[in-house]
Amino acid sequence: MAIKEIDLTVKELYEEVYTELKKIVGEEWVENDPMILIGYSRDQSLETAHNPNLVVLPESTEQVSKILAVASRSGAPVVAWSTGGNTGGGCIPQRGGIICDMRRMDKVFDVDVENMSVRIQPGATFGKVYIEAEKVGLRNAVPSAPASVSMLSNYLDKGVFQVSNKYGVGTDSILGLEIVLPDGEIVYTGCLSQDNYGSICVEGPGPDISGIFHASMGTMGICTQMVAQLYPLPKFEDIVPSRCDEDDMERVTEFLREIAREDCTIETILFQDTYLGMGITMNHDGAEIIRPQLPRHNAIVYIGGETEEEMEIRREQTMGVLERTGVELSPDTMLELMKSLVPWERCFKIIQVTPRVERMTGCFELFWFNIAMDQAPDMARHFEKLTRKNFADTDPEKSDRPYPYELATFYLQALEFGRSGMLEMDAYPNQGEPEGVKRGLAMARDAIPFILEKGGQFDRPYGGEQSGFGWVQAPLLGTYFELLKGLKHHMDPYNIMNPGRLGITADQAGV
Amino acid sequence: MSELTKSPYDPLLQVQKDSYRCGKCMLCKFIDHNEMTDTDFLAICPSGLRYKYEAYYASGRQEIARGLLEGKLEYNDRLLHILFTCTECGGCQVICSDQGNKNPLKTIVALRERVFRDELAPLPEHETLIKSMENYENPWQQPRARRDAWMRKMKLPDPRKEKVDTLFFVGCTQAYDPKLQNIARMTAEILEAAGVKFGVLGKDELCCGSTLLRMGNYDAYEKMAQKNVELLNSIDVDRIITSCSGCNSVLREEYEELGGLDAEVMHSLELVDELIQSGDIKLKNKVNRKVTYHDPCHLGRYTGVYDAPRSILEAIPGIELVEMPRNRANSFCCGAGAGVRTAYPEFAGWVAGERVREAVSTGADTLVTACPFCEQNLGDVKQPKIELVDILELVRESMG
Repeated sequence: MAIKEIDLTVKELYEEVYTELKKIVGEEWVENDPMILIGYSRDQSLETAHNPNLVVLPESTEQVSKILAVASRSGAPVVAWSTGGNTGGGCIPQRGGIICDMRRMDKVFDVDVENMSVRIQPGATFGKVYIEAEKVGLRNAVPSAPASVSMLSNYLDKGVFQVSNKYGVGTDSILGLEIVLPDGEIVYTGCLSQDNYGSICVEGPGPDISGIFHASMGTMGICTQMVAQLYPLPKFEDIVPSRCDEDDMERVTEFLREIAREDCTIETILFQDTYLGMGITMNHDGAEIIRPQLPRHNAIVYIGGETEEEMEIRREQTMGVLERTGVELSPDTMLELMKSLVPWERCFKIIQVTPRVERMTGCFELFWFNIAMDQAPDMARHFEKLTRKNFADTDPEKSDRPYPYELATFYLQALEFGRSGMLEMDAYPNQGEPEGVKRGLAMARDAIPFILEKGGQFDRPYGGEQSGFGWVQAPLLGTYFELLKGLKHHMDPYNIMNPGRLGITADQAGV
Repeated sequence: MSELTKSPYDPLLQVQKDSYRCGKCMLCKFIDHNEMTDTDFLAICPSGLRYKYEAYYASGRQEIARGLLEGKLEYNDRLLHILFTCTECGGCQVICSDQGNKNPLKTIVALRERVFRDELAPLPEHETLIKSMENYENPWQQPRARRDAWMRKMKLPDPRKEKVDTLFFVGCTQAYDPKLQNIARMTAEILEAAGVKFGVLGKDELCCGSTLLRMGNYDAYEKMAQKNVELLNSIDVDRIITSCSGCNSVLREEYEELGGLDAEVMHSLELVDELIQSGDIKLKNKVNRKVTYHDPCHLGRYTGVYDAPRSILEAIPGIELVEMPRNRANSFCCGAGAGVRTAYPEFAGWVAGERVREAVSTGADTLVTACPFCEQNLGDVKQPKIELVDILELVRESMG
């Protein structure tokens, strides 16, 4: 079977691939029934739903290798799918093809206490890894994503965590990878590149080729195993909630940067009023009731230490930063309210549900980019303007509101001791309502040029072909992008791996 | 009228908003993260855990609803398998309803109703049950005359002829299944011993309609339920108790849509717990067992009865209660519900095996439950390390 030589129809091609895949994984674990396929057609994004032609569920790296070898010979596109919670259309099969559903590979192999690391498969969720790490006094870095999300995919996709103000993004916590390349070959990087390496090697060895797989969204191969860093789990912990008014973006930005530089917290999260309202009440109606009692910005600082004394030192440091930056401590009643309503002991550790998910009205458009912290206030104000323009509430009964708060928000976090920041702006239209989708896409069109002009960097190739937002950074990258295209062509000459991502068209991919 | 269904009424239109609102957070696959303790027992959805494909989870079924509404899918046999392997246990619902009032269980019920209206259902395996409901007003093809067989040797009052406080609504399964009739008898004996003035309807008791509702035959269910509401409201009692979890949830929750019942509806365990606390039931004998309690979905998630059974077990001298990793609202279904045991016995057995494996992992020697369907299904698992008993058996043993 070789599509390049034999002129098969698409139907015949997939019938042949279907037969081949059944031989690899067994009849039960490959499907072409439309009732099964439609389950893989959509994710959290605004991207248009699209069905794959086949779904296959491997149970081992060897099976993944054989699947990719078949796909490579046939030219059928392959999209890897770990737990399906992608926020940018990353696992929607835009051009059909094979969904490689990795959920049967969900093992947490071993937690290495001494070297503070864990070896996992793609189907292992944050929740699952957390439980194993917690048993030995460690924790994984947890993103602002639910416990149901694949840790491996989120790390590879440069997930931003509450601990990112110290430790950077997800890829900064990767110690080693096992990757199946598009032709079925298997490559090992970092600590997995040599049997007896343990978990001590972070990159390489030598020139580090693992970066080619970071944020590649399955365009360079399928990651089947990862060794990732773990962090200490404090024995004592508490939260310090603080508040800042709507027009004080400069002050809150300064606070976030300073608190990161001071290195006195475990995590810091900036919640807007609607976010915190949802976090406390767990539903839209409750959030609307509690929101008027909250200031616009709520910076929740999570402190802790090995001893109570250490935690108290952290608290004093935090209070010092609050005083210096003029950000107020929330009243005790707020802390009591949070502690009484939120299962807060774990809410910073494994997130069951983020306010983002609670806000979901069907899907959301996401702009998530890195930016210098001092650009953040201007950028945030511009987003407010765009939100008002695109989501102004036309309901006269609600005309006092600039826009329905449940429909849009932004989120700012300091990265790596305040060196830079991550700003996220979300819009939440319902995919069942074309007007909402139109508004979401219009806002994206308005926002992107401004972000690029201000030096914002989209480091993930989010966006699909149908919405027209591919990797918006790609055209600005010059030689870097040319080199990337060359590498992609070398590794995946038929452009079978999640085609349509990376801003590389079929022509550019040489197909 | 939707153009995509043969029926003049498309139930999917009622859940369209929920289907589109599914945010693909994938939380519907797992128990509440605050309750996660054992990585072996994180799953909440039986069909998803067994069949793995996205379509077998609530998140995938929402996409199927969307596909049908948009005319992108055509009915086929696989759809029936996907829909009718759902036990309607409500595990997905518990976690999803917290996330912005979405309602996956409603979507599944609407999908079943739709395929029934479009004459793809009932499944052949369900046909017998549904015909039996039409002919005998019970799903087990038993003549009405035998409905009171369980109480032949007992003299229990008819509340229409004699004034009583309480009506004991027995339910079809405990009335007819010889293996489960003892639960009905035990309930009556315990109530008698505690001095409760109660009566039963005997041969005149009607099926609650649960079977029709869960299999998608909503019109027939509504007729049956309406008849039952009228009958039960014609009887002057303060409360109706049932020892069947399925009847409990239908009488208590579903009948609300039809105007509800005048009397308070309780599960028998809630009353037994009250009687123990008030001292009307005295637990004297030691029952030396290490037990774990399986929350039946229709008692726990559907009507929120979690504390009463635990309170009873804690009151029995000698009993040590240990919880399974998945308990209360995070309980894992036994696999029997919503016609699954009838249509897909192999799958139902697999789910029961998973639940018994979890029970064994606690080190308990006894698996306790309080639902005839759970008892049927869990009881089929061959596991010598643990004994399955109804909670009332333990109460009676302790009462002496």
